[in-house]
Amino acid sequence: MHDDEPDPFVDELLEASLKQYRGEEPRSGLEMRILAGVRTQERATRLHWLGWAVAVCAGILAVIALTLHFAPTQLRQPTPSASLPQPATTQPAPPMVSRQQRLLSLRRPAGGVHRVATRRSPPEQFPTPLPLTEQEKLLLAYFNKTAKPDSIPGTGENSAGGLEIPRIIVAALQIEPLDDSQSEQGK
Amino acid sequence: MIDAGQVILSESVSTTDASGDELEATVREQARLVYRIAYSVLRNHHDAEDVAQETFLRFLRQRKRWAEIRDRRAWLAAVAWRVALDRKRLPAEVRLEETAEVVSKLRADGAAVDEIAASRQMMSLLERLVSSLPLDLREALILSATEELTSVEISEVLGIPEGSVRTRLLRAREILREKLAALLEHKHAR
Repeated sequence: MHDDEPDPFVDELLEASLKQYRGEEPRSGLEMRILAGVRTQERATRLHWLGWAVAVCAGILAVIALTLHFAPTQLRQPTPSASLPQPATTQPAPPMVSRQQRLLSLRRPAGGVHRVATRRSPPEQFPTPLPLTEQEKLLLAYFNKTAKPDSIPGTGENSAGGLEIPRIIVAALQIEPLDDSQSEQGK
Repeated sequence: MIDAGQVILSESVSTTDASGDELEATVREQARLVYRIAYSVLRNHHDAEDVAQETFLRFLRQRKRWAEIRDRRAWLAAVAWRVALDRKRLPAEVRLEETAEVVSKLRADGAAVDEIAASRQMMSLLERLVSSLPLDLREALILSATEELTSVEISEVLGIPEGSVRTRLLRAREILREKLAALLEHKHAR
């Protein structure tokens, strides 16, 4: 057969074969099977995500519970605190104060110590007390030797050499008795 | 007694009732198209149904974008096409000479064209010839062979102009005709 004369049988066979090539009709109930499969898989996926969500929430709750459980215990734990060196003089032992407060008191003049002591002190745990350094110890010893205890004006301790405050003289008040006649006229 | 998990699940299912109805309607309308496209690629009923199910599952998961999908039919066809191609295995090896010989014998015995075309040997021969086509021609021919999609829809699935689809279809048929003629003439001449 020549190439320029196509065989009609081949054309017909090809067309018929291509029609067959599309395949048979799907089996009955295709839609129901697809819907059932899709819903089953979607439900499984949803449960999978739900399981993950529950697991993550449980983990977060566990972390929060553990944090709350251990946090007060840590606060109650004693922290190392440094005691001030005992001065050579007979001064009473200073109360336990934080390092910041101690440094502040060291830097202030003698007259200001009293004001610092009367202030509301910060919590003892913050900042964490630490032992004094050698330089701080030396500075404290110097102050203990040179500085004198607070003097309260007007007390006996001040009379030795403290600041003289002139006495204020207030004239005695004289209150005259009320006159009954004047009060009746007012009515 | 109903536990918390069941309550959550029942609520989540009830919120998807609207989309479930729409899904059901879409499956009833387009299941055949999706199945045919999958079958045209995979040539297997079970695989084609699996692909159809996967396609509608992806469609359901895109429920928030349903309003944005302009042509739902073309969208489903494209997804089915891609999923089927991902699952496609290599076709079984078919001895072209042997199958062509059987077809020639059927012709010589006076079998009708439709009878020959429906034979298992002819189907195997055609599958082998189609799989030997260049990819671009094969894709257009397979989608066309489903007889479910217009050339415009095929062009949307393949992402090419409609004119290119027509050109590829003509070229694919031409190649198939030449190869089939060569095989049958060779056997017929014996």
